[in-house]
Amino acid sequence: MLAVDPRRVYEHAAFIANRHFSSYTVAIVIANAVLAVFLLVLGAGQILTTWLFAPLLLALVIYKILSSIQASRIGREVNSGEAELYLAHTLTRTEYVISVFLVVGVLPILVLLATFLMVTAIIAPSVLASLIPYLQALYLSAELLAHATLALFLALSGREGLASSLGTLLALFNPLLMAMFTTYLLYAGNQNPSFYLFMYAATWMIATLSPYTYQYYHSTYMGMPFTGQSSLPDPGKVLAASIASLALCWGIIFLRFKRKDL
Amino acid sequence: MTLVEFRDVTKRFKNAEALRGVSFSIPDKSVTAFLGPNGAGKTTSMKLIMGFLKPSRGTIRVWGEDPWRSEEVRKRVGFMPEKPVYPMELAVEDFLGHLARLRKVGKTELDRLVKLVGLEKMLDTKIGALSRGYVQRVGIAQSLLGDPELLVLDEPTANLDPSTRREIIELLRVLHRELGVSMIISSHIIPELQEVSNFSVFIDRGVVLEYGFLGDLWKKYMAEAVFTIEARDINSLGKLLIEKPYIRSVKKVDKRFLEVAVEPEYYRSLESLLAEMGELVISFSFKTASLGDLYEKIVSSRS
Repeated sequence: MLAVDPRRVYEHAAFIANRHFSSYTVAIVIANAVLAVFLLVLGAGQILTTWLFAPLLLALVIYKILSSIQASRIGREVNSGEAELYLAHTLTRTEYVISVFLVVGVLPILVLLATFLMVTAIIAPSVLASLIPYLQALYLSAELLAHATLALFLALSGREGLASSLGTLLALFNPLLMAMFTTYLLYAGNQNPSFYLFMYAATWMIATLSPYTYQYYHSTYMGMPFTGQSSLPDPGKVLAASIASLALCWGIIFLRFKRKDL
Repeated sequence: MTLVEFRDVTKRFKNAEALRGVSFSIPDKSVTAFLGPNGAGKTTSMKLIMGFLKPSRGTIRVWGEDPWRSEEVRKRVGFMPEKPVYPMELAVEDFLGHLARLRKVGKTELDRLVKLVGLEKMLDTKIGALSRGYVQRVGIAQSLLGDPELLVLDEPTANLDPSTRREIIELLRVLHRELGVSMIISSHIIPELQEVSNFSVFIDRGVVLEYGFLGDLWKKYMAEAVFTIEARDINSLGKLLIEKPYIRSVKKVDKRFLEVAVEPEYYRSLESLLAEMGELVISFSFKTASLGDLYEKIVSSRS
């Protein structure tokens, strides 16, 4: 039932990626241009501080938008009946979902990680010998994958428009929401205990969708001289919750698509 | 051997019941015309055969296997969807090349297919730039990849002008002759599959009205029949036949063949007469007259 032919998965993933090659090119060019400007201004050979990873938040937004658009295209493919064509040519439903997952989720992650390693190598090459950049890479991957998962979930459920619109809105406004939530929790959370609980839960939810952004904000706040009186969720726990939610979501996506009427 | 079997199949969508307790079976090696008006349930049936839809009730078997559960069945089936959902921005070669690689079909085999359906000069053309007739050829070519034992073609002539429709029907006839594959072809234009098919399933509003070999259905519903007769002297035979009161028309096909239309109730009489005319008749065969007539008779017998 779950037999997967990796050759067929690769073939179909490469086909989808090649078809939408221009979108990837545009995203890579914009993201790398942003980073290049940042590097030019900053210069190389600095010591590692958290804010060095700030431009990666921008790159993350760009790749999230790319991921949402790609998911929406997959949704259109499923809604129009084009997906049936590929399934008719021996591609199993499992292989189809894996191949779109590779294109919508994994490919943007690989590009983003390559960019991230390049930035780290230029700014603070010595850090590559420590665990820090690899943990950052894990946060980055989890965030982009969580976003791609949400977008694909919507797309494969037949909501292609929502996949691109909600995906783009989340990509753009998530850092803003996160800033509002964490600032409230930290500096005004002790004024209204019941509202604090609500905001704490909301922060958890949104942080699970974007563990990298959350961990960036968390470490920024913790590095400030005047920290608030209330506590923020632990980024490590947020990352673990994010990974667990991803595994659960992927199980649901696979099962739903296996049973979906096309 | 049974190729496809539907047993009490119902398919419900959110607001509608597309199939209502449908049962029929299609024999192997047949060319089946799946006929009915728009919205009859043809596409739903085709998708159920392909395993793209799950029946709400009942069982479906393709070569004895459940296509919803066994994705292996699709390896033996070629499918052409009703709508041309092909990636319009791709060149014909790129699109067919991808599907061929999925099926592990080599370049030589792909080239042979492309030639067979008459697409060899269009390989570099984007699918979106092709005429409707050629887009349908792309659809037929992709359905033939991997030497399928069954072709499921959903409205292959839909939205085509009459001459292109004729071309596609002729192509299907050639394919059946050359490749000998079983076919299930749906159409809402009832008479058009007459020359290709030998088996038929008539469906309307989610209910199968009738199914069976066309010869049997013709006899059962007493629709007008046409005999094709090979004669030693077609003029003498023609003169003899036209005098019979139950003969509706005699048409000369060429120097050796006549087409004779006969009142349905005198079908046996003509058969006996031709058998006795051994000195004039070399051979004769029965050809169903009109699928349209047959459909009308089936519908009127049900109402």
